[in-house]
Order: sequence, then C-alpha cells, then structure tokens
Amino acid sequence: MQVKNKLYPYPVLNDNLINSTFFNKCFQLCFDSEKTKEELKLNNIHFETNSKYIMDLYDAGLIGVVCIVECSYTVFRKCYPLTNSLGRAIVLESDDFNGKVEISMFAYAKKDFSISSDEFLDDYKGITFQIDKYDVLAVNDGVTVKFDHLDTDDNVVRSIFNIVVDENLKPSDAYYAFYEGKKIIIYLPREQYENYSIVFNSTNFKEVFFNMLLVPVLAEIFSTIKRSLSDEDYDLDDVCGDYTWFYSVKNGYKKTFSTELTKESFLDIPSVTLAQELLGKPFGPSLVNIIEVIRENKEENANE
Amino acid sequence: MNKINIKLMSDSALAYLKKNIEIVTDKIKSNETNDWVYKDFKQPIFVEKNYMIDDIELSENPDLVDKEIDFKNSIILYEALKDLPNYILTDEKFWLWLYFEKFYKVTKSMMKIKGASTIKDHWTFEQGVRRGLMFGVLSRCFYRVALTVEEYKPDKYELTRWIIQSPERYRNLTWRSFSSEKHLVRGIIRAEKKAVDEYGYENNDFYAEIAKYISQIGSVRLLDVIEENDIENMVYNKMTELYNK
Repeated sequence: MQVKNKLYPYPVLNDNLINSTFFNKCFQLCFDSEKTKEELKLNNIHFETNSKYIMDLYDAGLIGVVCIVECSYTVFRKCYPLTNSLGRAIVLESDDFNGKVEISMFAYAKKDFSISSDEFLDDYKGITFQIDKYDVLAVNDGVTVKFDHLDTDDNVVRSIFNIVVDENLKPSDAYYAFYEGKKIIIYLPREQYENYSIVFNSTNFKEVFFNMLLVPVLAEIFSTIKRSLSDEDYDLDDVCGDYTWFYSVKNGYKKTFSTELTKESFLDIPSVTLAQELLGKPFGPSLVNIIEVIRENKEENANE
Repeated sequence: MNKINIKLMSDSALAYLKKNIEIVTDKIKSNETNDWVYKDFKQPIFVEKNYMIDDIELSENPDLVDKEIDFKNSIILYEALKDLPNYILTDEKFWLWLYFEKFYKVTKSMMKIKGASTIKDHWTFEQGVRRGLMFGVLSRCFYRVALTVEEYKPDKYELTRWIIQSPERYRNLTWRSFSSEKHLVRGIIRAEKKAVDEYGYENNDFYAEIAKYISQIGSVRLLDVIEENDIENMVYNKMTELYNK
C-alpha cells in the first residue's frame, strides 16, 4: 500500500523527503532478505528514524509501527508489527503471492492525542494538531518484490509461443501476433491453424513452420524491444517485467551461447540472427527437408 | 470422499477464449453439456496440478433463486477449496477449469447468459482480479464464506448466511482493497446486522454509505490496524446515524 505523494491534513513524516512534512527526517524500513523458491524471509526487520519526536512518541507507547504486505494479484493484504530492535523475521510464503508484492511501513496512533513539534516544516511549526486513534503519522513506501509460479519449460518454442485460432479471421487473412503478456500469441485463421497443426506435428517439416512463422515474428518483436532499450533507464530486467516470455529468451541464449544475455549483447546481435539461433537455426534443415520431398516426387514421376 | 487433482485452463485455451469470446458465448448458450469445448479449443485445454481437493458436487440453482441452495453450495465450495494456496485460488485459469469442466452445468444455470459481457464479467477476470473473484459465478460463493466465516463461533456461518440472503449487504465492500482484511469485513458485517436487527428494517442505500464511510476513514487512518471490535462500533454508530437521519 504505497502513499506516494498523498497529503494528510496534519504533519506526517514521509521517508521520501519530497513528500514529507517533517524537516529532513527519515523513517527507514530495514531488513536483510533471503529468498528461496518457497519463501522470502525478511530477517532482522525493524524501523529506524532520526526523528526524536517520533521516537519519543513510540517510547511513550503513543504510536505503533507496522509493515504492510500487499499483493493485488492475489488480493493478499496483511500487517506485521515492527519494533526498532533487530531479531524479528517476517516470512512471506510464495504460495500467497503472484507477481508484484509491495512491502511498506507505517506508524500510527494508538490513542487520541495532540502533536506539535519543531521537527515539522515551517508551515506547521507552532500549530497543535489533534490526532485520532489509528491516524497515520509516518510512512515509508518501502520496496516491491516479485513472486512467480512459472512452469519452467526447457523447450524454447513452447515456453515463448502460443498459436491460437482467431475465429473472426477469414482463411486468406494474414496472421498477427500479440506479445505483451506471458507468451507471444500468434493468431491464425481456423483453416490455417488446422494446416499448421499438421506441419508442426510432422517430423520432416517442423523447421519449415519455424522459418515461415516463428523466426519473422520473433525478429520483429526483438527489433521493437531494441527501440525501447535506447532509453538508458530501461534494461533487460524491465523487458522481463513487461514481457514474461523474455525470461525464456534469456535462458535460451544462455544455453546456446554459454553466457548470460546482457543489454549490450542483445543490442549488438541482429534480431533475425538471434531469432534463428534461439529456434535452432531452422533455415538449413528446412531446405534439406523440402529438397528431399522434391527429389522423391521427381523419382516417383520418373518411375510412372 | 474421493479426491481429484485440480486443473488450470491452459494458456493457449485462455488466449482462444479471450480472442473468441462472442463465439464461445454462443456455444455456451446453445449447449447444455461441455462436449463442444473439447472440439473447439486446442489441446491441452486443462493442465493438471499436484494439489488435490474433495470431488464435490454442487446443486443446480437456476438464476440463484433458492438462497438456501446458494448458501449450501457456497459452504461446500469453501470447505473443499479453502486449503489451496492463495495463488491458485486467485488464478483466473483455476476458476475457468471449474466453469468449463468441473461445474459447467451448475455454472450455466446460476446466471442467465445475456451476452459476451456475462462471460467476460462473471466467468473471466476481464475487469481485473478483485472484480473477477468477487463477481465470478462460483468464486464469489467461495469468497463470501472466506471473508465472513467466524471459525471460533458455534455458528461460524451466521454472517455468511446473512449476506447471502441479500448480497447488497456485502457487495459494496468487496471491490475495495480493504476487504482483503477479513477482520474488517467481519466487523463491518456484524455491525450492519446488529443495526438491521435492532431497527427491524433495512435500506440498501445504507450499505453503499458504509463502504464510502470506511474509505473516508482510510484516507487518514490505517485501516489494517483497526481492531475488529473498534470497526464494529464505528460502523454501528454510523448505521445508527443513518437510521436516525
């Protein structure tokens, strides 16, 4: 639950100084993390602040501090009490989450009382504010982590592509692709889809299908992504965040070239080359298969 | 009872469904059984997972006319699914398996299919995860129980039964993010019930006002830390104010 630049009708200490109505005071969420497939542990999680006023309120028992964990994709939301001491751990089990998880922190009033402090910004100094029980007094928008439950598939084609019928396409219509999701989806008219199924399931012509359909689609999408990467602040982690299937591209690259794919190497390698490499360089084998069929047909005609 | 593995609709089947929603809607409307699904969708349509549940049956309840059947179905569904991991329970593809395979006939009967919007809004998560869960034909049955069950009470489904009698009592809360905190939902519902029982009549407009009131409180207060008794008292006082206006 992130507050960002939300304003309150009384002074609130925001760890992001731009949005804080306390002068130059921090409210930090501190932990060291340990991640496995099953869980994320936030070890020694605690708060730290250089605001004497907030610490005095905390020591007097007037305010409490909590960490809020929220995942909108699994409608999960839970709060965990925090102290300013080390030793506490929060365990986030991956079964509870999918996608982006926000971990933020709040200080809140445990009873009604009033506040006034020289730590406020000038506009609020000298003014007394009435605080009600549960009012927010300090915030830290925290961090965002990610959980996923992707079924890993070693086969690059299956992990990147889905071929789907668009019943609204006529038999002679061109195919098209949608790539802003977990997989690249290529939409075919029903008749073309039936034909693709035959070709794809044939051991002799699978590479032909790769050449005709997958290589051009993948090459075009790579070129589009390269244009986005011209932004200095946009890197391959961002690409994976926007296009989940790109994780499979990275894995496929590592298997093929025995090295990690970097932004530089992705920008360097021509898109059509990378597409062919990831799909097993199908052009040569597909030509061989087609030539074999041509030869067989010639022989059959010669025998007749 | 027998156990079965759960399944999820496959990514390719989901992509086909979303791209061809109008045609799929017509097929659902015109087919009493789901045989057509296995011809029209590409295999594999459903992917089996390692999690197991009781092989439950639900009763048909045309247009949800019978509140008692609705209540019983909700409890059966909740008890069978409650131990599944959260990421499965909130996955659109899990509910689509239930709608297209396990409970096709029951799902069809529960809500009249007026057009593709019925399938988009009440079978898929077209409107987002929260709305998809809280408005889904069967998922809403599950969450009605999950958010109101009081496991520590002898009649643990008292609040569940109350909201199923009249969904307006609960609907306005469910698309707000604070409804992920079960203690808040229970406190709010309990207060509403207390006020309705005391005054002897209800006004459905009050429930929308209560949802707005909670959102207003949440603009400065940290709702998550408000204790269940406190939220119940706050809402009861607000209901009293509304009754006495």
